[in-house]
Amino acid sequence: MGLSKFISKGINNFSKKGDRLWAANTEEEKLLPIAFCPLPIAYNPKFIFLFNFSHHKGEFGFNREDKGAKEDPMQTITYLILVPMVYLAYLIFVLGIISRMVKIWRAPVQPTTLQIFPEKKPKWLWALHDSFLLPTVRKHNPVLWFFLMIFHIALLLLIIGHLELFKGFTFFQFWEHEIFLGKGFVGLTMIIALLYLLFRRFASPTRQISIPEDYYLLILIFLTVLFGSQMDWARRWYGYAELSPSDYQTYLTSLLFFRPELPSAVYQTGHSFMLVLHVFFANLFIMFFPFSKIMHSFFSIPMNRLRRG
Amino acid sequence: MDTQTREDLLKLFQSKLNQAMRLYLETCSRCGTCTEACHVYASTGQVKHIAAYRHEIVRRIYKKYFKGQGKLASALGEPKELTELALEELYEAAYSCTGCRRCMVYCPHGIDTQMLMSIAKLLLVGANEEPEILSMLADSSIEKGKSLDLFKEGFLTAIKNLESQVVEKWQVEAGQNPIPMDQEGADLLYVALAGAHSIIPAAAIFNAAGENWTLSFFEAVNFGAFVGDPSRTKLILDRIINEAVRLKVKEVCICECGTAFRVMKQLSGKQPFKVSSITEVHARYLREGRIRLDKEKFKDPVTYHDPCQIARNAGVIDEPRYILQNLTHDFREMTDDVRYNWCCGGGGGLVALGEDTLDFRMKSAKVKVDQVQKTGAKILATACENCHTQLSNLNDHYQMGMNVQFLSSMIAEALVQ
Repeated sequence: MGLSKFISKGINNFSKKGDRLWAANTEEEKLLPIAFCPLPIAYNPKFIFLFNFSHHKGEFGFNREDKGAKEDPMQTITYLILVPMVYLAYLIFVLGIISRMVKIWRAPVQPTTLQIFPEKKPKWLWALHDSFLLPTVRKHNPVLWFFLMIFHIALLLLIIGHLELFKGFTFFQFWEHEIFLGKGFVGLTMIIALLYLLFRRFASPTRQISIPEDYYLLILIFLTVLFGSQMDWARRWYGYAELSPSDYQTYLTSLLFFRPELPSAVYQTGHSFMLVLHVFFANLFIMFFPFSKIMHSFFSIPMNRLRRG
Repeated sequence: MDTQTREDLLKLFQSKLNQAMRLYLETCSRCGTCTEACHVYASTGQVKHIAAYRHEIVRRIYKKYFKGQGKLASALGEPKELTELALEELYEAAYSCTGCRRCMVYCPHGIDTQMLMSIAKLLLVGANEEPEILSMLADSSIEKGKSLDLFKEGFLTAIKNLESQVVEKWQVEAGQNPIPMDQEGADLLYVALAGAHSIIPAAAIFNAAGENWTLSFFEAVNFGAFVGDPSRTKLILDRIINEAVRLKVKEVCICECGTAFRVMKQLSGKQPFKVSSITEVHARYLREGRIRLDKEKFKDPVTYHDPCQIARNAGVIDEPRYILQNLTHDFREMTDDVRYNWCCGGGGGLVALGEDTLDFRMKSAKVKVDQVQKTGAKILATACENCHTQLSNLNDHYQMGMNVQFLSSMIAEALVQ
C-alpha cells in the first residue's frame, strides 16, 4: 500500500468521530519520521502545489460540496495560512536555529574560566538545576518565579498536547485522558501567567529595561494561546463539537506527510477562524523564534555551565 | 565619528566575540531579576545602573552591526549606531560598573556583565576616550618592564630602607636578608604593590614562617585590566611571569590585590608555577604550624569584607575565615552566602581614578556601609588594596568609626615570636 493510499484510507478513518486513533499501529505509521524531512519540498515535484495556488481546489486542498462555485478569497487566505505558511515557518525555524548555533559554535572558545565561587559538584548537574529550576529568581523575585514556572510548565504540557493532535501515542495514555489532558485549564493558566509577564513590563523599573521585542513576543504568544485555548474551551466547556480532535489529526498528519489535506470541518465550521488565527500567530511566533531572545531555550544551559565552571 | 574610526572600533568589537561573549550578547531575556543585584542601583535607585540596562547598550550596538536584525527589523530591538554619544553612554556604563559580578549570581542564564563591559572599555580605548590616568598607569607599568635596569638600583635602595621596619616586626637572626630580592632558586616569588604597607607585614610573616622567598621588582596591580585593554594587560602580566621563570620559583604569591590575583590566577592560562594569593599562603602557614598568632591581640569584634575578585570570582573563601578564627574570638560574617556580599564600590579601576570618582563611589556604596554596620564589628578587615582604600574612604565619609585593616597587617601584628 502506497503512502498516499494509506493517507486517504487514514483520512476516511479519521473522519469517523470518536475513533481512538492511537489504537491504530500500522506498518505505514513507522514511516512517519522519514516523512518528516524538509528536503522533499525542494526536490520532489509533487510539492509544487505549495507555490501553485490554483491547485488547492482539486485533489490536494478543499473538498467543497459546491465545486462549481466562485472562489472565495477568504478560502485562499485560509489555505495560505494553514498550508504554505506553516511549511515556510518551520523552514525558517529550522534553518534559523541551525545558523544561529553554527555562528556561535564557529566563534573562538573562551580561553579562561568564568566560574563563580564557591563551586558545587557535580558542576553539570548544578548547571541543569540552574537552567530548569531558576533558583536565583526564586530567591530574589518569588512572584516572578512562580509565574515563570507555571508559564514554562504550561508551555511544555501544551506542546505535548499538540503531539497528540498528530496521532495518539500509547505512551501518553499511561494516564487515560482525552487529547489535551488539562481539560482547557493549562491554556487558561498560561494566559494568566502571560498577562502577569506582560503587565509587569509596563511598570518601572522593568519598563526601562524592556525593548519592543519583549512586548511583541509576549503579545504573540498571548494571541496564539488565546485562540488555541479558545478552540479547546469551546469543545470542552460549551459542547461545541463541530471541530473534533480527529479533524485536527487529519489536517496535521497530512501536513507531516507533505500531502496537505483540509477536512471541511477545519475551514467551513463557524469556529474555523479561531483555528486559522491560532495557526497564523503560531506561524509568526515560530518564524520569529530563532532571531529572538527565545533562543535562551537553547543557550541557557551552556551559559549556566560557564558560570558553574 | 568618521567611517574609518567606526570601522576600526567595530574591528575591536569583533575581536571580543568569542563563544561565551556571543552567548551573553544573544541571550538576555530582560527578566529584571538582576535589578537588585547592583550595589549602585541598590544605593541610588537609578535605572541606568541595572545590569540588564548596562549591557543592553553594548547589545544594541551588537544588534546594529553584527546581526541581521539591525538591518532588517530594527523596530524589534532598537539597535544603536556607534557614535560619539554612544561612546559617552558606554563610558558611563563601563566606569560605573565595578566588575564585581554580583549580578552574574542573580541572572537565571548567568550573564557576565563584566565581560560585556570589557567590550565597552575596549571601544573606549580604541577611541582614545578611556580614563587617562588608568592608561598612563598602564603604560608606565609596561615601560618599567622594558627598562628594568634603569630603576633597579633606586628600587633596591628603597627596599633597604624598609628592612629595619621588617626586623622590628620580626627579629631575624643576624646575617639574614630581611627582604630578599632577585634570589634565583627561591621557592616563592612575592609580588607586592608599590607601598611599604604591602611589603613590610608580608616580609615579616614570610621570615617568621621560614619561607625561602624573594620579592618581585614589579608591582602586582594590572592597570591594563582596569582600562580593559587585553594587549596591555598581557604585557603587564608577562613582566611577572618572565621574572618568575627566570628565578625558577615554584610558586608566585600575589599580594592583597584583587585584580592582580584574578588576572594571574584565572585570566592568564596555565603557568609553569603555582599561583596563590597571600591569604592562601598565610592560611597554609597557620595550618602547618609555621606561624602562631596571639588570639588576644585584637579584642574588638572583627568582620571581613570578601574582595569580589578574590572570593566570588576566584574562590578564596575558606582561607580568610580560617585565619580569622585563629586571630580573634569574635568574628562576624557580613552575609551567610559569600556570593551575595556587596562590592565595596571601588573595583574596576574606580579607586585608581581617585578624587574624580570619589563622590560617585561614596553614593554608590551606601548598601555596603549598611551591611558593614549591621555586623556591629569594630574592625573591618579585607585583603585587597582597592577595597581597603574604598572602605577607608567610606569610613571617613559616613563616619562609621571603624578600624579598616589589611588582613596581612593584622597577622603580622599578632605574630607570636
